[in-house]
Amino acid sequence: MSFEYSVETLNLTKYYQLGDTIVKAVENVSIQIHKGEYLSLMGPSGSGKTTLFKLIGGLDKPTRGQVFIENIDISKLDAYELAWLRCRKIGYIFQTFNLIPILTAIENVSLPMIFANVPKQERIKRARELLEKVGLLERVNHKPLELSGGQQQRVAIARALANNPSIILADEPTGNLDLNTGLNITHLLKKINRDNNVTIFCATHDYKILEVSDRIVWIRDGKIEKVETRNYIRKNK
Amino acid sequence: MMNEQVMKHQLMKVSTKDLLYLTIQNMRKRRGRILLSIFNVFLGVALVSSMMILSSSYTYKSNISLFVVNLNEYQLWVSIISIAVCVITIFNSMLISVAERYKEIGVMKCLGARNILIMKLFLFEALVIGMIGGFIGFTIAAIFTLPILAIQYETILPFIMYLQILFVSLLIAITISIVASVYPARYASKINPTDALRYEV
Repeated sequence: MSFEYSVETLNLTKYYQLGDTIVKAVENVSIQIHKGEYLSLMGPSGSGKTTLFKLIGGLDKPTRGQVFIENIDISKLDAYELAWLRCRKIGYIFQTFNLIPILTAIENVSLPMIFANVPKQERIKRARELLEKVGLLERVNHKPLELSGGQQQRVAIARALANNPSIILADEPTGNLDLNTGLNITHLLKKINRDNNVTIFCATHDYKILEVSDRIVWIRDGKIEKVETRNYIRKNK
Repeated sequence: MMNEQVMKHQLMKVSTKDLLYLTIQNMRKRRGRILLSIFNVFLGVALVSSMMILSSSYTYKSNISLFVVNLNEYQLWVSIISIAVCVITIFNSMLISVAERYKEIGVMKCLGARNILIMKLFLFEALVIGMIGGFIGFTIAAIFTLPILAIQYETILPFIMYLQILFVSLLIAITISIVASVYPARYASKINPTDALRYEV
């Protein structure tokens, strides 16, 4: 299947009703993300980053506009197809890690593979490989609470990669981490982006991420302020 | 585009084995509340099945009928009340379970779990609780009524009647826990992943 862009949004708009006032969280946002690109969405808090993240991830419905993931208009999908899309095409990484507390690291990583109906042997093998890739092989049987924040985020990254998605959506992946750990996670994401040719869409206000991203979209009050490529930033530093 | 999706529809089905695995794992790790639910079913069923044993030993002795589980009016009322209490308690405990796993369910949905899977997870849990609770309840009732049977009725029930009562007890236990879990399971399956992720426990 050929497609021009990995993710494409067309005049994406989301309004919230908050009491009597209407909050314009995202307004007329059109972004095209190429396959294998590392795109960062920068902006202050409350600028609509998370809303955009949810809209692209199919977790929320837009007021207007469309989201295409590999040329599939996700607003036209029914619940079944949307679940399939989340399972196979998109990997999510959250600020608060959102691992399942009662499951061990390896069980957390194999959970999306259960949803995709991968046989048990294969599931465990792949989960181990992924945990090895993120450098946590000696912690496979630890529960999230026994892991540090950085380690939890690594498990979350492994989990996001479980079904070989073509897009990874990250919402402030370094937001709850200290400087060094955040840097490690950033580089790990870059490594995955390069090795697996995964498109990464990262909503953040962490300037460390700028260094590794191919393109940065600045967003303010729900509108795109400017789009910069990495070369441009390097030149102006 | 659609063709490919149709093809993948078949791949999204979670096998019963995996479902059971997920359920058992969850139950193992949340042992406390599950044991409480099982204990609850067991108490209700023990009461009902001990009354069934006593009443059927009476009918067995008087007119040699092998296939009747009949309770008198008084016993029937006590049974109905104990079953109703059982349903309400399990309903409550299941709702707490949903609240406890609210965020977890949201995450699972983000990772591609379908609504029906979430619903099945809770119903499977209820099924296992019902089966274990019912079986223990019947066993305890059968053991504890033995001396009463021996002393008061001077008889021991034939195996076939025990089997019959076991069957009815299991049926009651499973019905109790499934009926009590339908609403919580439906509620859980309808959780919106965005709301769940924002939710702080």
